[in-house]
Amino acid sequence: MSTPNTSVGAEVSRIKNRLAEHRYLRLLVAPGVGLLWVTFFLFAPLGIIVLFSFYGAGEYGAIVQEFTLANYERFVANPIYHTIIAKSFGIGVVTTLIVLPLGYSLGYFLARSDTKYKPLLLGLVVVQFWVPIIIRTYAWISILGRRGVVNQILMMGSIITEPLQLLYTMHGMLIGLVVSLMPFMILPVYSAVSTIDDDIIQAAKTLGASDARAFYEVTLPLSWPGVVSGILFTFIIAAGAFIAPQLLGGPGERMIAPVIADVFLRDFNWPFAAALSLIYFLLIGVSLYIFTRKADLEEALEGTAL
Amino acid sequence: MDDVSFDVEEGEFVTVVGPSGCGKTTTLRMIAGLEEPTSGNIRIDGEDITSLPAFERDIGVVFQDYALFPHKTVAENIAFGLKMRGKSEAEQQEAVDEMLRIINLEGYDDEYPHECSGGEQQRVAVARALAFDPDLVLMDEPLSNLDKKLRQSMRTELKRIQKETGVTTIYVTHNQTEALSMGDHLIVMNNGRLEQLDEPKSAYREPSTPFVADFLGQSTRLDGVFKQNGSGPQVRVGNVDLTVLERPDVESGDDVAVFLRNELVRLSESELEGDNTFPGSIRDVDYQGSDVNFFVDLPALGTSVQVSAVNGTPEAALTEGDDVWLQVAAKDLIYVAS
Repeated sequence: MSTPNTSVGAEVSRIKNRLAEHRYLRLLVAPGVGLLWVTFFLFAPLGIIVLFSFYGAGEYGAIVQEFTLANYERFVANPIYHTIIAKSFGIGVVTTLIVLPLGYSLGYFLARSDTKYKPLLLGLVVVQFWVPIIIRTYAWISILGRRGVVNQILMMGSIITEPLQLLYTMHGMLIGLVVSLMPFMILPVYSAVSTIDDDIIQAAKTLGASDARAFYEVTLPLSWPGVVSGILFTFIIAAGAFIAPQLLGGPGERMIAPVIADVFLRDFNWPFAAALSLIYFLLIGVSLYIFTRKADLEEALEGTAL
Repeated sequence: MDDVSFDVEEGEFVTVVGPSGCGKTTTLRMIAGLEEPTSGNIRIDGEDITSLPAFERDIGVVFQDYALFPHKTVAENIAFGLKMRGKSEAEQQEAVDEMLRIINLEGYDDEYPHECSGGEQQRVAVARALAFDPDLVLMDEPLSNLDKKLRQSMRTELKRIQKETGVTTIYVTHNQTEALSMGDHLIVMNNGRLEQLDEPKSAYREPSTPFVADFLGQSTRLDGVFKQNGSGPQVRVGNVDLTVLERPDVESGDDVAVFLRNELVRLSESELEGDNTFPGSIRDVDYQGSDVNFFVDLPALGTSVQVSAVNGTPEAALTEGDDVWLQVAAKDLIYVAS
């Protein structure tokens, strides 16, 4: 072996090694990119919040990096925060309970109907997602206001003499929440119901099931995954609602998300805001866990083995 | 649909056969209550059920794709009809046990449909339709999703189950083998019309319309004119007179369609004697295993005729280009007014 050959050979094997290593690295990174993303944008911020909730709040927004339970003590000592959290949770539940029958009906009929307007109607539901929620919520102001569309129509029809106070009330806020969250129930239900083979429902009827019983025995259990999806989405968003309470709710409708925002941005009390966030996060998390466990249990009993 | 009317005797097995789109499934669905007839009525045991919705009719239906409830077990599927009728749990269990025994799936109570094979699912679908002891069972091409061997064994199974339960059955199919082998009576439909209602043997041997003659079995169709003169009953096809037997419903001068059934045409390399003999040569061979179909050009008729030979006979060994003789006896020539 002459020297030139050896050096070329050694060079080549060096490159080969690096390529092989590179490819191994590449393979390693590929699924790992997803993991990195989740770590960066989910776990890291969460971790920061957990950390901050145990720091102290200094003057003018400074953060005292010492371990303290002061924030949690403050939460426990102030019943007003308990009320706000309970109310927010409650509004989450109420909104979901209103959206559920309305959204399910719409999703169901959309899935089962055979009209040529189906794509158009579906499009109308989806189009709402293209409009930012702040604009969608803001629009309600001009509808529900004292000189808004609703009051104008009622006045013109002489149904009322004085304009109704719809804005800055619980009703106004709920309307805004419910309407903006409807697509989150309609679409999963539509998706689930449209996968149900019509033959199966007809089979139930030939076996003696009335329309109502066929729905209860066949359609409802088979669309259950869609319902659970819808409930999860609706509740999570409603319980943590920020824009609707801000724009449409009154002082009586204080919800936790705007309160946390205030503590962050107005009081510059990051640690306390972090503590409040974490507490609510855990509350919602545990509730959802219990809910999905119960929902899965029901699914298991129904025997949806899919 | 165009004026379809028929009666079915209790305990009978009736097959309805016809090409896709002939209206057989529509007829079935109207009987089941899944579609409304524009006119006419449906009666069971003398009782008019036309205005009853599907769930109030006492009719079991077996769908082509089985339509089993995926979220219910086999037992729950079978018991469903009884559950809807308010039967007690004990009664339901008894019926389920009995049905599982009849369909040979004992022990499958807690299986789910997706855990069963195609044939098993099919049997569960049948059991479900029979479990609540209906007046009538309708089957919509239940065997078309099965492979050939399974289809054959299921055919026998279904006939056995029907005999054992004695329930009146209307069975829809586009497969003429099933239609011929399964029913006490056969209904042939085409284009929304009822072509013939008869016993399978009669429909096959004495079809009443050109469509039925063509649909059942394999044959070659020739069009001609019937004439009755000094030489006896004949049909003139092109330049040739075919000798036939007289029929009461056909008169001299009527247009007729003649059908030569593949298996009734005699084939031989040597010259044949008898009525309707023709020389020809084999143009094409269609090998089917148990038999062979030949397409034979007959210069005298100016067209080619299909003829089949059974595996094992010397004729089955013939190939393209061979010169042969064909002969059809007058009694084997089917012809119908067209």
